Amino acid sequence: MYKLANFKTLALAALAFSIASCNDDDDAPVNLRSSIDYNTLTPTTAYSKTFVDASGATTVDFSEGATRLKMFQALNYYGTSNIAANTHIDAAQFKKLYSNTGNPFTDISTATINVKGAELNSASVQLKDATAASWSATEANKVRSKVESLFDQIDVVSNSLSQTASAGKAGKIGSYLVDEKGIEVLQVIQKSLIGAIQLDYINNVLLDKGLQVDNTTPHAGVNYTELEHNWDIAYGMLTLNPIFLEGSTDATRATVEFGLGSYVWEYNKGAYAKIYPAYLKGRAAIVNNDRTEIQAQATFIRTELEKAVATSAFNYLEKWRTGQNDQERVHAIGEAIGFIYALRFATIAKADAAFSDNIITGLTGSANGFWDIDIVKINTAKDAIKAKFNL
Amino acid sequence: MKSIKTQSIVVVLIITLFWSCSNNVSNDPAPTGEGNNRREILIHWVDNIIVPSYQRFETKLDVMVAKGQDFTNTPNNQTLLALRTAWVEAYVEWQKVEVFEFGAADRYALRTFFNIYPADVNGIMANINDPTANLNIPAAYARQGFPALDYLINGSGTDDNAILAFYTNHADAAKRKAYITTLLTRMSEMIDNVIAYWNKNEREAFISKTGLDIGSSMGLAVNAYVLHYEKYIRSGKIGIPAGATANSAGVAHPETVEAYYKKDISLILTQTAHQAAVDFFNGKNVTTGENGLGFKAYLNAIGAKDNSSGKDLSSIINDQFTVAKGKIDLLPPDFFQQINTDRSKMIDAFTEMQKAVRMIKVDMTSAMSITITYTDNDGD
Repeated sequence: MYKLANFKTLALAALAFSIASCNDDDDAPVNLRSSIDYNTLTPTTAYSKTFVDASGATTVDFSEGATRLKMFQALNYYGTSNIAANTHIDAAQFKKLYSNTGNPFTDISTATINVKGAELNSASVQLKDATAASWSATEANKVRSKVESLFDQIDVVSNSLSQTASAGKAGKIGSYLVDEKGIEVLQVIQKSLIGAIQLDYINNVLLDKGLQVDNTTPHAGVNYTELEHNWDIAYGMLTLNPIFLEGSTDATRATVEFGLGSYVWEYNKGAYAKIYPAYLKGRAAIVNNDRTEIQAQATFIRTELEKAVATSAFNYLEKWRTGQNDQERVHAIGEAIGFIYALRFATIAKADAAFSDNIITGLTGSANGFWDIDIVKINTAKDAIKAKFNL
Repeated sequence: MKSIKTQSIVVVLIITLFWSCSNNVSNDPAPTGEGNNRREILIHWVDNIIVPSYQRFETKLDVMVAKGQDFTNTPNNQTLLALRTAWVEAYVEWQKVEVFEFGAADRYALRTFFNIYPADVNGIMANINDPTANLNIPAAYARQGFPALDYLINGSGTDDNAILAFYTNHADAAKRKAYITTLLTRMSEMIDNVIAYWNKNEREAFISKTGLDIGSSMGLAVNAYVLHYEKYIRSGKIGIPAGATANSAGVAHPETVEAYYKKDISLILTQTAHQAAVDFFNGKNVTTGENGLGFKAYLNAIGAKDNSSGKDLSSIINDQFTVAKGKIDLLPPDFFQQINTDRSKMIDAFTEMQKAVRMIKVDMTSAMSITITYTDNDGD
């Protein structure tokens, strides 16, 4: 009895203490994982091997993000390959690729793309519902409709693949296919989706609201928490490589990157090498359940990804300026328009749809669009971006 | 739960504040010794080289505008010859400022409106017939500036009588004279704008961006300087007309020489442009004529050496400039004729200038830790 009473007292005391400590520590639970010393992480620390469960099995699964990134590659390839081959572009096919309906994906194997159609077709994810996903359904649907209208537009423009474009006339300028206003629609699609899918989903879904999720118990049937998984999807949507930009220097990109990842290297020279370490440290902070550090790394990644898009837009406007012929200028403006569209998803800098749309209208809103652009319009656009992003 | 959320928000706010603080710090580096030295260079450039050079050019340009008015008021042999002389003098003086295509000139895209050649003769004739034509767009670059004037006063007829008839004895004579006036007025306004922009807006911003990063003044100036020497002096004046560039695949295009219609001034334009590039390298004060702060002084200050010889990199570069100048000086005044008879001398000059390009584009920039940002073509 004595022993029992004593045990009861102890148990009660322990319970009381644990409640008290709960109160003190807010909701900090016992960590699921053994903690990781941040100082052990280096720019070449392997991601998957570092984050493991008690049995040593990796808790990292990039596939959901990587699948979307490959779908984006495949969708883009549908446009680029048809333009290169001077073959008609079908809006219906573009839309199927976008929404992953009707088994639209096929195998692609090039120097820079390697996708298996069957894998993508059977995947449960798609690009369309990941577009502008941080926005309300109404606002997101506007963006999705806009993307699909660009598919319709390029379908029509591709009827002019054998023509030479000029003011008021669709066709090719060098290797670039442009509409009657001189806009390279495929670039607008590609760069707009860098914003609407990669930037928005990584920054404003996964690394924002996506951080306010459970980190104490593994999902059913898997060994990672929801928070761990969200972080890993955010990595998978940026790069298909185990180590983002591994071995790259300012002069040479040493990995094959697609979309946002390649522009981070090209136009954010100050930060590209710090992105992977930030992903690593943030993921370690998730293991450590260190909310402050998770937030710090997320904010860093978001800020620098936004900055990469802003400086890309800025530099392509500059390339119009230094372009020596219409071919160079037309491509620069197609890229710039897409990147400027993408800036509406730059929430850290508080850009929005009006910010992007005003710049685009100023640049190409006149009757002949690209063909009417002059240095004053370019300066106005550059000044607006420079001011907003403190470039 | 409420308090937890509040706490999280506070934490986020603190992080955000801290973040923006550290950003500000990194964007606004404390002036260091080197930064201060660069600031001195930038000040010297603006105050003792760039702005005074533009002012000197403006003086010549004003004369050309006045002679242009005389000519359009009274087109005759005398006013035509006077305009031509003023055009040559202004065109030569222009070569001394074209190298400054950064800062204010970059903002106004000055070169594109002053010296894109060969002139687009069909476009000029179209614009004469449509006085409302937009002269600001790229399609109009080669329809204005010195090359368009070259056509209008040297090439619009087979001889002086025919040229005068172009402005006197034709239904469109008034429109043609009006186009000359439009071009001259435009050039005058643009130079005013550029000088005013340097003085009012650009000077302070320019001399305060003392870093070496891509957006720094030194970074922009080096890029503009190397681009100018490579593309607009080496290729534009010599390489493309002589078929010496890689892209021209050995095919000469003598019709693309600078001052194609006047012909006998291609040499002096090239010599002047080359000397201006050398002078800027040496930081030559245009008022006193003394060398001062600039690339040479900077390279010497950081102890930049030539890898193979161990000599000062600035001396090696100056030596190569002298070799290139020697080859240019062997050329005749009329490049068009030279290319048609024997282009080897042009190719010799191109080859020596190419060696200088490598030194300033690779050796100089790497010694200075400057990134060359311009490329020939977009990768995708």
